[in-house]
Amino acid sequence: MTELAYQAEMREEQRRNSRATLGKLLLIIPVMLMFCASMVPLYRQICEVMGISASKAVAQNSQVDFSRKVSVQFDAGLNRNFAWQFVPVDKQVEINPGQVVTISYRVTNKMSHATTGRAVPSIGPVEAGLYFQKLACFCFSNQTLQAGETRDMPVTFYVDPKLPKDIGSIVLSYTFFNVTDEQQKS
Amino acid sequence: MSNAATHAGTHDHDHSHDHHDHGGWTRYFTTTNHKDIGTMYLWFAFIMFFVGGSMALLLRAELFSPGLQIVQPEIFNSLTTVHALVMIFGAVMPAFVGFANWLIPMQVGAADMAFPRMNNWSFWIMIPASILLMASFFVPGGAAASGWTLYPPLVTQGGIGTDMTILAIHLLGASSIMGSINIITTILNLRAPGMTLMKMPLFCWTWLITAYLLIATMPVLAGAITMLLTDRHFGTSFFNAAGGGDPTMFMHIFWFFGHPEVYILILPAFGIVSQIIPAFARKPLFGYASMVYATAAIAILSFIVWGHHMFTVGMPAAGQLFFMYATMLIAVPTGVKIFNWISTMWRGSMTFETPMLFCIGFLCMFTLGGFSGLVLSIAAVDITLHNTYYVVAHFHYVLFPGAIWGLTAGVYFWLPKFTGKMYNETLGKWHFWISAIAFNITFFPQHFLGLAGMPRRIPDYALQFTEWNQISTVGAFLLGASQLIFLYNVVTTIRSGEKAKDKQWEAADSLEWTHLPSPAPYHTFETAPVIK
Amino acid sequence: MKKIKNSSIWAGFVALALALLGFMTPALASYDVNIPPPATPISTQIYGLHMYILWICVVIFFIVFGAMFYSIFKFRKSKGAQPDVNFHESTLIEIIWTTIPFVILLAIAIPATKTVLDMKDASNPDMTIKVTGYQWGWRYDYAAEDVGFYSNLATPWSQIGQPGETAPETKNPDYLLEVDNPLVVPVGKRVRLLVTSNDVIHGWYVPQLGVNQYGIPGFIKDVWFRADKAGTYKGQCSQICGKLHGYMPITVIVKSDADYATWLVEAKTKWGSKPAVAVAQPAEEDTSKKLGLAELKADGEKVYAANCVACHQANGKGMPPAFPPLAGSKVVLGAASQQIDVMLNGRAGTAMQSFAKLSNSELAAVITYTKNSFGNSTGVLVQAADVKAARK
Repeated sequence: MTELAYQAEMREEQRRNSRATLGKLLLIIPVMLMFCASMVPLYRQICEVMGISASKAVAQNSQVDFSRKVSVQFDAGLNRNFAWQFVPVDKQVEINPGQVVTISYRVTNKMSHATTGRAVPSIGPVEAGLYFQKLACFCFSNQTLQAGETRDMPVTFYVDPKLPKDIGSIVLSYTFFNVTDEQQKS
Repeated sequence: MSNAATHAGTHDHDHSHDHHDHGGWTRYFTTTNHKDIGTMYLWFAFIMFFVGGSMALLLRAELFSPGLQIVQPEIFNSLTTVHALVMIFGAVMPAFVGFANWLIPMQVGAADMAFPRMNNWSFWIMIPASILLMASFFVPGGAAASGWTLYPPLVTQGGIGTDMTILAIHLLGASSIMGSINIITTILNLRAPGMTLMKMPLFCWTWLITAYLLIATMPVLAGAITMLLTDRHFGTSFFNAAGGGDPTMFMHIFWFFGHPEVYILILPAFGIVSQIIPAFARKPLFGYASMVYATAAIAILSFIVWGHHMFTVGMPAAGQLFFMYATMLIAVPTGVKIFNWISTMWRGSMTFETPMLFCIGFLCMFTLGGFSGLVLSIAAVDITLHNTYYVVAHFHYVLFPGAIWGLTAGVYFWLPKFTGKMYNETLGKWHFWISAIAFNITFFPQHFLGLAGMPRRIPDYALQFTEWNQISTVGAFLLGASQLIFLYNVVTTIRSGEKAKDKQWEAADSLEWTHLPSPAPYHTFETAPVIK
Repeated sequence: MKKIKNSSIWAGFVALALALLGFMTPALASYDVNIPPPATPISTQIYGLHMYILWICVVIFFIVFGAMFYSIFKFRKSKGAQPDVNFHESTLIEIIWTTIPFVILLAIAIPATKTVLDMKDASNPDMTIKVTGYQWGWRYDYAAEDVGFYSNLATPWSQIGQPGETAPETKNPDYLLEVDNPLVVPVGKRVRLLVTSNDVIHGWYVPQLGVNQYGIPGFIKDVWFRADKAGTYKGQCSQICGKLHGYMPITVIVKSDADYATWLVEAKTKWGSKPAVAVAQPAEEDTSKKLGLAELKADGEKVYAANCVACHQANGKGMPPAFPPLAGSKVVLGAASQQIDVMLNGRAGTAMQSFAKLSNSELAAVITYTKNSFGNSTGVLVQAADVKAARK
């Protein structure tokens, strides 16, 4: 084989290989895009498992642990300070892990027109989220209040008896977002 | 020496890149020649470096004394944001791609990059992107002002400038991905016979690893900012708690890209330094194989440390500990690299031309940046330092002497090969010493500011921070001025430098020095050299 | 010849270094160079941890720089050094310098882990305070006490100045670190903070208390501190949150139990009847009085200077489009009810937020002021009673 022919053949082979490499590398892009997109459900899943977003409501039978008490505080907030009044009726309860409890929040629309809000729950400390089970709550669904209307909204929950011993205090917080505009759009 | 090989190239394949024959500067629009494209990338990066630098000087000028003197706070925020984006996406990354274009084909013995036309696009795509980014200052609402991390919900408050920024990042990301594909393919497939992977110069190795990082992370960034865009305009709520989203998720996705990104900004510089130090120590690089493994280890670890940017979002202790340990681990391969470079100098026969000075400066300052990185990696200590000037000092210590000095050393080292002319050594030394002193005047006091609790990204500060800020500002202007020496030196070298030798550095051992004349001809290695 | 030259260079270096040290020692005394004195057990641990790592780094620094500069001076060509080209590979050395850093990291990781674990304490706190960041200030709600109040920058804009103009007033020593209503807590009590935000992400950062916590809208994040010493501790917002990110300081005053009790009584009378949310009007305000244009405008100008001027500017021209002008604005020139609505409820998706925290008379005054200033001449007067009516 002459040097010339050898070189030509080498180039040809390189070109073939390059195309094959290109194909493989291009594949990485959609894979990584999909990875990024999958972060959304994955993150939600992780948060749910860890109880950070705590949107699931699972009924479970469990033994009540009478040997200790856990204090649960209730907190309420309004995003961007819109003119509702939103407070926990019960500020704090002392409960035994496993005990099913119902408390309520009170919300009043102080605006001169009907307004829709949506509440987002949050639990502190993050480590407790895993063990805080809400059986019924008003979160993530739209709540429309007429002008001046007041409503009591119950939350039923229990704390898993498997709650680590070093957690003695849990905070359950709800933040209402004003979604009136969003609702009108859709 | 086989210069003959170059000129005896066999012209038996497609020559779509022969445009230089029809002369004129207009050839740059259509050129597919890796050297032309490399030159364009380097000049583009150089210009953006001065643009980003001017923004930094405006910021430092505002911070010279407490109170508002020069810019409104929201302009200050925009300048901080765009300074970072310009330096990262406009200066450092394109400059590295420029070097890759020039050097990788020559160092592996290839005639050009694997996909010359894609190479041309990946450069020209950056022009509209940078215009978009800069023009965002002049649209109503001004440029993005949320910091380069673009955290929602702040970023959703921005005006159309934010959308322009997002689009610009999309384009720059696409450009980087194309560049990376080209680099990987060239290195994997176009190596000359006998050029095994473990014989490649370290620059090719670090770029190969960097390119993989880029391909893996840029789509993630693209995904994240696309979600921002739909949150802003199409009513989705990926990052909006009201719709079941979480702003924290953006931080996770962003830093999953963002941490590998900072290694993208430093690994090619490691490669440049790994070639320059042996050349001036007149001794092969110490621990070549361990250098390759250490680079790969850093790249892999970079994917599991993103959480250290988020120690203050309120993560569980287990999360803090995991990210803390993973981050601390990076010190091991990084340390191995530093020790290898020092051992390369050990029992060498050193001279201290400008490229070597910049490499030694790189070693010293990067080590200091590594120390502050170690301090910041400790989750508990990070609580008191997060988002303070200590962090600003840390990443400028790793990125200015790291990325920028690595690049500067590379420019001085290869300028004779690129242009065939020798730069002015005296001016080069002035450039180094003034930069080195000014750099430390600028950034060392920022450690103290951060420790004392001065938050970053603020246009105005409490009186107790005044003195260090004034010192820092003085240093910054000196640092800016010293870069003008660099510009002057490069321009005069190209215009009227003395003729450089084919092998300007006697101990440089990569193919562009051993097999090619200076300046490197327009077409090189059309016939592949055989490496023994 | 060469030897002499070298030694004289060395002498020069040493002299320079000594001179620098001499200059710097007195100077350093007045410059902050370290973390401010810690005031809680956690921040004390953080301080110690930082010093410990710093000293380890100093030792490594001398070893690494020593080896490097030894090579630089010893193995230079000008001194006739010959390269030892065979010294470029040694598995043993590589293993050694992979292992040693690893051991050093272990020595750092052990105390660091202890502090991280100590930072987490989920037992019952002595008291809980909700911290809400908003653009651009803080709100503190004492969960058990029914006390809640806003804490804003107290430094007047006349000290901050405007680009291109010198600030008319000299800056006082607490410039940018002073607030109108500081957070007050008792000494020695475990205080749990529930940090959240009203709009964008903020960072509640007080280094001496060892707390730096993002507030994220829609979520509460709990952190805690226990101050062992009474005193005043300063901090700032740590996460960029828009235009006035640099202007939302934090002041925490730690008081003895007795002083705290006194403060709490005062606080309850001042802010007590306010529920945890900001919509209710301040206690017992006389809204029956009707004021004239001149009075309303004079009052309104003060309210405007304290709350509005940063965005809408003193001349009412704003900084469009983020901060629209009030001069000639449709809302300002339009019906009073519309403007009152914006003031009370803010505008979704913009930096304009609810100013329901202001009193009825303050709102009435500032609305009247904007309707009759900057070239706006509607002649419309808004009275406190109008605002009160709209709050319902």
